[in-house]
Amino acid sequence: MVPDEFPLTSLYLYLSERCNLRCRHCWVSPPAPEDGDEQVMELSVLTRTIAAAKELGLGTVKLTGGEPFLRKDIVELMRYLHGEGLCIDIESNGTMIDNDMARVIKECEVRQVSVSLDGAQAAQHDKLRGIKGCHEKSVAALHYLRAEKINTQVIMSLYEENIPEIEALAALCDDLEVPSFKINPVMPTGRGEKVFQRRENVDIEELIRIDRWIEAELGSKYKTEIYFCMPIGLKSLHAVTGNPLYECHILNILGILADGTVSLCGIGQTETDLNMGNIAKDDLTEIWRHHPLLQKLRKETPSQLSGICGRCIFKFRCLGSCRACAYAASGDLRSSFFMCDEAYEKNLFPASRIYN
Amino acid sequence: MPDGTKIVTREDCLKPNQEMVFRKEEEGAFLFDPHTGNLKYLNANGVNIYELCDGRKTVGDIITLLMEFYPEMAVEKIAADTKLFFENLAAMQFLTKCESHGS
Repeated sequence: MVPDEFPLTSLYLYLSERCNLRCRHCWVSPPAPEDGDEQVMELSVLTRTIAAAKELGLGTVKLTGGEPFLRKDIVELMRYLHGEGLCIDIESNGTMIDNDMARVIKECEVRQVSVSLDGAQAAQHDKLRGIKGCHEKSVAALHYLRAEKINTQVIMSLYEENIPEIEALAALCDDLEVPSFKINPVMPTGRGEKVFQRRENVDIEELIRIDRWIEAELGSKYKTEIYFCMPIGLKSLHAVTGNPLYECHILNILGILADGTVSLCGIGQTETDLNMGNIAKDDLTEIWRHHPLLQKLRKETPSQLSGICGRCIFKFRCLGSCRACAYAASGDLRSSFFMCDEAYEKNLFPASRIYN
Repeated sequence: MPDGTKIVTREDCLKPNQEMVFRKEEEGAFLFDPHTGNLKYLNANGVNIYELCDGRKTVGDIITLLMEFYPEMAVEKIAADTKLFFENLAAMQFLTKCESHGS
């Protein structure tokens, strides 16, 4: 294995494993801030790790969680990352972003701040996010960020019940001058597993219908760019050959959890088999170059993917969509992605994209 | 693996590489190399031209056919674009040269 073949281009820093919201779908099931003290990695350990990661090709750091703004020294961290010339992305529920924080984000030239919104109206959003009043705070954050001319994105978690909110949210994004609106169907991991057990998720026929409706109609009605997250194999020909799609570059990222645990991504919070050490005591370079889990992943992805993902002509580009979700469902990093499985079982996976 | 090359002459005769996957969709097609993962999208015109590569027609024959089909287009442009298209597909090993061919 030649390590340089796989540069570590992105680090996902899960700055807090806690979250101040109670989202019904959360894929990592974070504890609440009041659930006791949280053990978080020291900033000095983190900065040492980031310096090592730069030697491996690091260009982008995503600050996420839990809720990343629960970490008390996040401002210091952002300033450090900015000083290192790294591209910063933030994923947040927005409830802790005020005017002052928006100014710091601007000062640190953050590339994009993604804020979660599951409905245009408070009732729907607060219900799914589990805390009354959180919609108002998230929308306020978008106002603060707009005032500072910061690039923003709204991320919607899609259930069956908030499908009618899609267009209203697109309109709200337009009003708030949010450039990007991303819709993520809920996944069957973490708390999302119960969403699926209760059959509150959206089935594959409906997901495909929504994708095509956005492409054919909704997308052209608003200035905000609307992106519907679905594996490329299920996208229309126009989408596949048109604009870039959101794809997980699993072979070029690592996740660092709040306590310093190194994992594939945030999945390590629930799937501890995917953890590879801790930056407090282990060398990130050694992990990236030699850890058996990463070597196995590189060897098997995408060439040894199984099921429909292994037979898809897009597998070298898609890499099997979300490997973390596949692992959580099956205990096997090679297994096929649930949406593609469902589509195949229902004869909705395009035959033209299957080989073997 | 068949020996692909970037250089394509008018006398060359091309045919689809049977190890590659060719999949038509409503408005085009994908060529996929299962060994390397290379993926190439062809639009409807590209599909038509690709399908003319039957192992019997030469590149020159195909250019002549296209000139008849697109009389409004400059001859030089058709020849250059077609040659470039074939060179690209040959370089990616989606098309291979026949060792001998009929006319």
